[in-house]
Amino acid sequence: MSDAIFETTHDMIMMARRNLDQDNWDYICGAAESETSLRRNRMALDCLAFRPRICRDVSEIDTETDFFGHKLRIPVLLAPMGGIERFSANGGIDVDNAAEEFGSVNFLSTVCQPSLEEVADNSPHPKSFQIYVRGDDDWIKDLVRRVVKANYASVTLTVDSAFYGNRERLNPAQLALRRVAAREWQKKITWETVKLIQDEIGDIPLILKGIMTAEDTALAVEHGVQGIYISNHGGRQLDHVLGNIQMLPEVVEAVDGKAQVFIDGGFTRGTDIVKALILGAKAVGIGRLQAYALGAGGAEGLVRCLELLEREINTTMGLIGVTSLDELSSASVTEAMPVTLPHEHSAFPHLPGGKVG
Amino acid sequence: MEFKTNHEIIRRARRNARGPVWDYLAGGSESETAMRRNRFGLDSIALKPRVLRDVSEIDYATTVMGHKSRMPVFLAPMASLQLVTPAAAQAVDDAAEEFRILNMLSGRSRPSLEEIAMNSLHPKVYQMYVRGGRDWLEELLGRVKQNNYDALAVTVDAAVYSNRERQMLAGWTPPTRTNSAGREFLAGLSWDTWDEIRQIWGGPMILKGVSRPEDAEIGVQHGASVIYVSNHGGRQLDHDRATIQVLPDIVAAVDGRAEVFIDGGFMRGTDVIKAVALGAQAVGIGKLQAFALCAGGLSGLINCLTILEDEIRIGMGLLGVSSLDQLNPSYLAKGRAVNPAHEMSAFPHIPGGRLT
Repeated sequence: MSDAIFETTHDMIMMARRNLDQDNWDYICGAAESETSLRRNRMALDCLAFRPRICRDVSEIDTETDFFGHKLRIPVLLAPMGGIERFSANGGIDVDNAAEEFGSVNFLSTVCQPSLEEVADNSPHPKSFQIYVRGDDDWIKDLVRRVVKANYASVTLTVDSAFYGNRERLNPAQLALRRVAAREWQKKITWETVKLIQDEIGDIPLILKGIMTAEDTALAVEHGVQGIYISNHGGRQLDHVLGNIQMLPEVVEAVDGKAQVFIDGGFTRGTDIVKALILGAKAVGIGRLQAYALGAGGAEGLVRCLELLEREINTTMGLIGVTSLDELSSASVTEAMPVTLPHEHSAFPHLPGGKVG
Repeated sequence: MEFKTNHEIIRRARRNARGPVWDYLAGGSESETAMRRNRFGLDSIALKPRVLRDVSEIDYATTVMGHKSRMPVFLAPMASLQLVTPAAAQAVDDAAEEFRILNMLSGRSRPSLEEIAMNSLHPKVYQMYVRGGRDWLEELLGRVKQNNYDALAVTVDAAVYSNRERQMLAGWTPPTRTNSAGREFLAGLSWDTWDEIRQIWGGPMILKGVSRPEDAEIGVQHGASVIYVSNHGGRQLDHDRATIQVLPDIVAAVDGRAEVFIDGGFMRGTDVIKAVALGAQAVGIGKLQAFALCAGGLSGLINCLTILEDEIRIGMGLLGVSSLDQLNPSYLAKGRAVNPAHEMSAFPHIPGGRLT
């Protein structure tokens, strides 16, 4: 599949655009209402600048870290994406194959194909199952028992989706398809739901995805949650929240070392990833980028995309003057004014017209 | 003079350059944020003029590393300039000699350092990328010494070659990238390497690619004559800060123990004045130099320098200063940038605002 070979992420995005129809493109690129949250994610990343050190031997750079004890080749996770099969024929299997081949961890969404058992059987590496609640407590228990039985290494509960964000790029028919009646159960999620899941999974780490305040971080830590996943759902849920990376310092402080912190939202470059790690994130999820990669070249495209990210992370670390992730410190970053108008493709200034609609 | 403004020089350069060569000259790394920040940093400084001061005689001459310089500008080292015009490095050296400013010969350009040194009487600097061990250094630095280069600039912001996506999208690789022999020595660079070079070389040294005061301090302690503030024109680490933004802290750290040079997005006389007011001894031009060479070779570069000189004269006169030593931070204020920053944003009359 030589189509999958692209030299830059620019090429990858253009290739994905050619392969995907308008509905799928709008679904992946778009966000809620005015798309302010989406733009703020990029804006916040663009408001940080590096302070590089020189003359430090950087011949050997180590980008490795771990996700609950499992080795990650780079501090990048494949964020859960509903309907991932729209971008790549084998859906969750393609993502899983890419994670296995590259050395990443993938999150399997409740609402994607194929089944959680099929994906679990596909490869040996540990993966995380992401839960959307689509039924009562018994429904949740049944689902979680299947997840445990299938040996998922961690469980992720999404907590930012009580309502479905108005994604105005979608045409009314597409939007209606996604507003299924069972979604109503999402509104009933409380800390009781968290306990219910914890009782079922025992020692398996639980991650709450969609936390955006220090207050909820503190509550989650009190409840024994092991993973705090900062996310505004790529700007696809509540409009007008802050850029995700702005939340990192207060969340990291509230966690106080008692849980791991993950983040996603607009991360598309090695420099973005390094900034999040400098501010205390353990690893960064990629969502849109993952979908573009799958759209451009399936599992092979996704592996290639991760290779490009790895190259960028290496370049960034080398030019900052650090050789391993634990050397990163807040002295390497400072506030700056953004120099481009932020949008979902603004990290890619050479796209024709600046943005692919 | 063929060109009255640098607008015309850029337009002519664009017509003359082959596509990938233009991508190489005009582009930065990855998202080109660092490159844009350089301009944004300059655009975020406003000038505060004084009035009713006699400015009938304006003197913008200075000294650079002890050598007289017609203006506080030098020609920054640029690799692969031969892509722009054959024997480009020769044209750069000739322009520096004719205009009486300093130039830095890139170790990665043609013709050779010996050919350049022939018939060249003016002071000049050799810029090196470290691409070998002790023997390699001794051999190269011996040649540089033998050919009477006055100072040595060591580039330290290129531990890893960055992704310059304009040229990657065009499927083109510059000669500096194709020949990767000894690249591992750039990654392995340390202060020990610097000291080893210093011991072999024995003359004045320029530390090029500094953006933090901590490193400026170490550089001074290790005998650097010049701390050269640069982010490689935004072509190496993306998301670095604007060089003009980091200049004050570095000038403070250096505290007169070395000269401070700067480059990165300098296109106008007012840009140069801002850097001097913040304590820079001289300002390097890179992209502008390349555009000028591309527009008209040696005469294009002389023409461009003449325009820049005129802008410095006008800027100083309207600011109410008649010599460079009168410039200080009291002439500057924080201002909001009024246009989106990019590599050509100092030239608002370019068709479409930007030539790609």
